[in-house]
Amino acid sequence: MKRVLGNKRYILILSAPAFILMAAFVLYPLISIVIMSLQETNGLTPATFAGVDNFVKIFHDNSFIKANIWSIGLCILAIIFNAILAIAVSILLSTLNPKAQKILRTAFIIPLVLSISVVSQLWLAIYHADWGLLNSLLEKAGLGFLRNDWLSNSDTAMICIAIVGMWWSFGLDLLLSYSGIKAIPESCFEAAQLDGASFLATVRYITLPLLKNVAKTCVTVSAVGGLYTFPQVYIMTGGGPGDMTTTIMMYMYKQAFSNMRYGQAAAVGVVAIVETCIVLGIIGWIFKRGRYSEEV
Amino acid sequence: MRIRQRWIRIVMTTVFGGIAITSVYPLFWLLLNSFKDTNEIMTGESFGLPSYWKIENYTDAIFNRDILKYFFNSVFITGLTLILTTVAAIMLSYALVRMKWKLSHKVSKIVTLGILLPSQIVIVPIFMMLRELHLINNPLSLVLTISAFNIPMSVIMCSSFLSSIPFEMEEAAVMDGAGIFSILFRVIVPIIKPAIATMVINTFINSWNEFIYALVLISDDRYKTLPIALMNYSSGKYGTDYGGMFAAMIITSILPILLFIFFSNQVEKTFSAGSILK
Repeated sequence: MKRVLGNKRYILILSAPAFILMAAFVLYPLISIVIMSLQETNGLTPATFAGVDNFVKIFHDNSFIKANIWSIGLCILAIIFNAILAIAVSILLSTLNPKAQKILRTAFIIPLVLSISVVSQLWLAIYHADWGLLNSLLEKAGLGFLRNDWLSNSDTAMICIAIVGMWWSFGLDLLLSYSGIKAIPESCFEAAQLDGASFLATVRYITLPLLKNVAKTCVTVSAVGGLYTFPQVYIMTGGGPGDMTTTIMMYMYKQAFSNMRYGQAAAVGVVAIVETCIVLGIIGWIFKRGRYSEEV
Repeated sequence: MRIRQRWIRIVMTTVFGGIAITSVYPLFWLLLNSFKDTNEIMTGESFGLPSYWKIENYTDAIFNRDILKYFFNSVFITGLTLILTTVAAIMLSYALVRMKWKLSHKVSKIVTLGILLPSQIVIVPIFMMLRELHLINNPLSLVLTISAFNIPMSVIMCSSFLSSIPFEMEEAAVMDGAGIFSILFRVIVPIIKPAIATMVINTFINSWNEFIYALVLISDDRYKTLPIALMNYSSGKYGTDYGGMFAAMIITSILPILLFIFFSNQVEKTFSAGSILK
């Protein structure tokens, strides 16, 4: 056994392909993005060292600050309307009869298998000012006065973008927390029932505490998803009107691939990584304190 | 666990039904619109069936819009990614779970890092690196990139399954004088089939639907994948051909939807596998 499993050459052969790929596309870019953020480069002439110049520039740019605020806003919306709502829905869903559970679950998951590109094009049509589904629906419901050019109106554009992401990934959180609930042994609920616990008490003292880890995964996944909203913005508004829907990823994309300011784009990336760490840190802190059950 | 009050159950079912319709109806609308003429979409009844079922939207996509070329590109890139990701991930998970070596903890850390890191964030350095190597507009660079970002999740899925199966089969195989590769592919792979199914579905959905890397790494129309090629429709000379675009969207989604219809339980398991990362 040892002869085969301890063989250095075998280990090397088995781990090399995956390791090389991860080193080249995960480790190296992480180091490289930090170095690039300290350099001035347009991609054509050799890079020169610029110190913290790139960071100073982006923090003086109003639209970068705005992009950060939008992204954090999307992140919070995703936590509330994806993670927390999905946890609530899945707890209630698991009380229905199995057939209804299966049908509803399927309905929630279908959008998830579609490409975000298709989803964005679809919602672009739904929001269309002249013949979009949303405006037609409002007309049908006798609310024609609410008709709106949803994506060109700077008041509604951002919320419309947010809805697309939520519609797309709601099923993921639902599935995560649903399978978490199914993993709780039935005997826990039976014991509670024997003790005469009400539904709310069962949820409060059994389901939620046992769901803590899954809930944390849900919140983390949604938060990161919201923070990095990009394809919806790229396809539906291109960041406009003005920079009303420019998220941090859209800002980075514009800096890098429209303005050829790779150094500044890398600096944006570094800021985004730091932001992600802070958000993950806050989520970890909240869950450690066990306050999450009051939030749900 | 059940809620006893009947009326609460009825209200709940209605509300959930409403959410479910919001979730599914837009897709139904998309399917119907893909059979409508662009004029009818723009001026006709939004909710009705097509007055004339326009199959030409699909034939036009195939014969005039090169949709088959993009479809083939997507199949090619997804296929290679699937093979590379699955094989590399199985090999690495076996080395991590079963074999003893000094650096294995460090490599596990890199795997965790790969899961935590949102892939989009490093797009600028990856673009620069591949440009230096003259690999932009090369489908293989897209394959390598997507594989690299799918390997960490696959390794986690595979190794959690691998560590739950007993040693005996491998011991017997070693007694018979089997080498590492015959152990891996003759003994292990048949046992971990459920894990492989999960890995394959996960990687398939991610790579078929890949957007940002496909957008940045491929600009040559010859190599574009379906999700990116969709945007060709909205940049037409004569305004957007909506009927045609809806048809192209259906063609783009057909494989994932079929996968979901035929393997819905597997797909559900795949998506909920994320809960193993605590």
